[in-house]
Amino acid sequence: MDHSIRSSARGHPVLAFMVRLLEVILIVAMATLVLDVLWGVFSRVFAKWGWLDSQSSWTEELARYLMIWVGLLGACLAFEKRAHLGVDYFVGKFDSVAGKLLKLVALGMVLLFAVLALIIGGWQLVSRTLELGQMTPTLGIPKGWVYLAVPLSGVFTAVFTIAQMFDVLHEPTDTPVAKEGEP
Amino acid sequence: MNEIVWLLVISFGLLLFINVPIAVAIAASTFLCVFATGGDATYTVALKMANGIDSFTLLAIPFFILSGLLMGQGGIARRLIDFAAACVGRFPGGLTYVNTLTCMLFGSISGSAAAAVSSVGGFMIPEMNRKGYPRDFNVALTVTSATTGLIIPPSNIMIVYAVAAGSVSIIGLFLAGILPGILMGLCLMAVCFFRARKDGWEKSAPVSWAELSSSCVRALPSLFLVIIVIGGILGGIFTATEAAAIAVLYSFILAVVVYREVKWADLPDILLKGGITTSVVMLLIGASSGMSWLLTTENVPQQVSAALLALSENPILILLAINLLLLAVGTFMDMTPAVLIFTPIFLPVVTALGMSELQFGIVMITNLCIGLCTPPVGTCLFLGCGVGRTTIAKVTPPLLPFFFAMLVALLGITYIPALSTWLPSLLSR
Repeated sequence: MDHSIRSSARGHPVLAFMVRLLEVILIVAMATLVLDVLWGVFSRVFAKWGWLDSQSSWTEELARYLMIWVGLLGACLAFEKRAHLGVDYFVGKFDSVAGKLLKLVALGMVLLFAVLALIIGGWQLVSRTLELGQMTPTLGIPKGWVYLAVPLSGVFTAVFTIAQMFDVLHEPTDTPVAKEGEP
Repeated sequence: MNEIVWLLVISFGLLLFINVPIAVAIAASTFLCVFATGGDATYTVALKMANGIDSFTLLAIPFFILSGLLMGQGGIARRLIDFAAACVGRFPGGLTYVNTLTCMLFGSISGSAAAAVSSVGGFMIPEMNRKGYPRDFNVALTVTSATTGLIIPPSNIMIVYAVAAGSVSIIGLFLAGILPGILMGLCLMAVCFFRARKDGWEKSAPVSWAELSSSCVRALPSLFLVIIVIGGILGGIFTATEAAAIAVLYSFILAVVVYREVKWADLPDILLKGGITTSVVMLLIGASSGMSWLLTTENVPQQVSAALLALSENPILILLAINLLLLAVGTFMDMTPAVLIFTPIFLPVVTALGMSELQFGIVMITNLCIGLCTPPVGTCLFLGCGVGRTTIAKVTPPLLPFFFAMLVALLGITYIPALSTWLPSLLSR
């Protein structure tokens, strides 16, 4: 899938820093994910050959939690780079003023989602899980920390979405909006 | 249907209409409905989102995406095209068959129809234009051929289906997809055959054995990836997720060490791109698992099942109705959420009719493949129009015979169970 890496963070050092930070986290997490699962396979083979006492028990759990973080933190980057799938077929048919308004409404919905579901809901998820004192089976870390990815993702998504709303407000209205997907 | 389901459908449709990302549209309409029934909406949506992604099986998805990116960056498309050209290029209208065969091979290795459109189409469409094949026909052919890679294993969407269906074996699904994928490819080639006869398309010189074997040898290391994945799972050496991680290692060695087409410095970008593509899929999965949970608590699967069985007692008609519903779903919904949301609804109906879970998985994916080539949500179609520099309106007339061919394949896959169940049944023997 090819993403047009069109960033809305141009000219804002704080935003650019946030994007870069997320990118580095995502790259490291993806690399760790691959190495972790590969180690799971190789440690089993080594254990069979007698090079190791037993297969590593923590790899599967670590991989699952890493993927929650990759999925949620990557999702904010995908919002920033507008890589999430949507239906631009209908909005492309509106004139530029109405199109601008619809874009703002759509971004407003993303913002609502980020605040209500990810930040508020995510924080409830973290605090309730921490209250229960639930620990992960093999790594022994509080399960609530794993869920921290949800509210964190919400904060980043909210910031990027607000930045995009400003971008849309500053777009000139007299030029026709390009129809995406129909060159 | 009850009011909550109507609220869900209408709010989801409205959000899609104004170009809200599909994952957000799913989560937001679910949120609204949980809120309307007096549930703890914020907490529920967040919980379902996090838990929907928390699965070791789903981990195969980022790995197949990564190995596809590593393979796609290298000259694999080029080597597969050479191999396909040596195999089927000699027939009249040869390039059309080369296009379809390459898409089938490439789609199998990369597991992504979109990647097949851009990698194979990026080379084949200009090449076919240059040789005098009509541009819009070439785009229509590439777009439809690219979807065969989703039915031919390994395939990410099968992993999503396995998770949605509960206890379906991934290797069983992989094996079940082989013959239907080939059938789909053959049906598309049949369209090319009749078109080539009608328009008297060129015929190129036959290829020598030496050429055929050398192109085969060059394509073999890439094709071997599929054998490692399927053979490894079949042999019980590793799970599907582990096989996918091994596929990353194998394509890394091939692309970086052997062919040196990917440099070490390119790796962070590949990991980033893979991570973002993964997160797009994962957000869809997290959001869809919330909606799927809501539909289950609202007893929608039971209601749909009762409605379908009341419609007719004839299994052929019920299956036809399900196919029509899935085709409609496929036109406006992306594959991943469609599989997650509609599997729990339709699977009980078809299993009651005696269809195996494996066959239904392939039927569903085939339906949704057709949806990838139709507006308003047609990832492959839009991408193909971009690659081939044409418009949806111009591609539509040449697309129609290909749609017909895909529908013929779909009917075959729906009503001939052996196509999907024969290979997996050899496994259990």
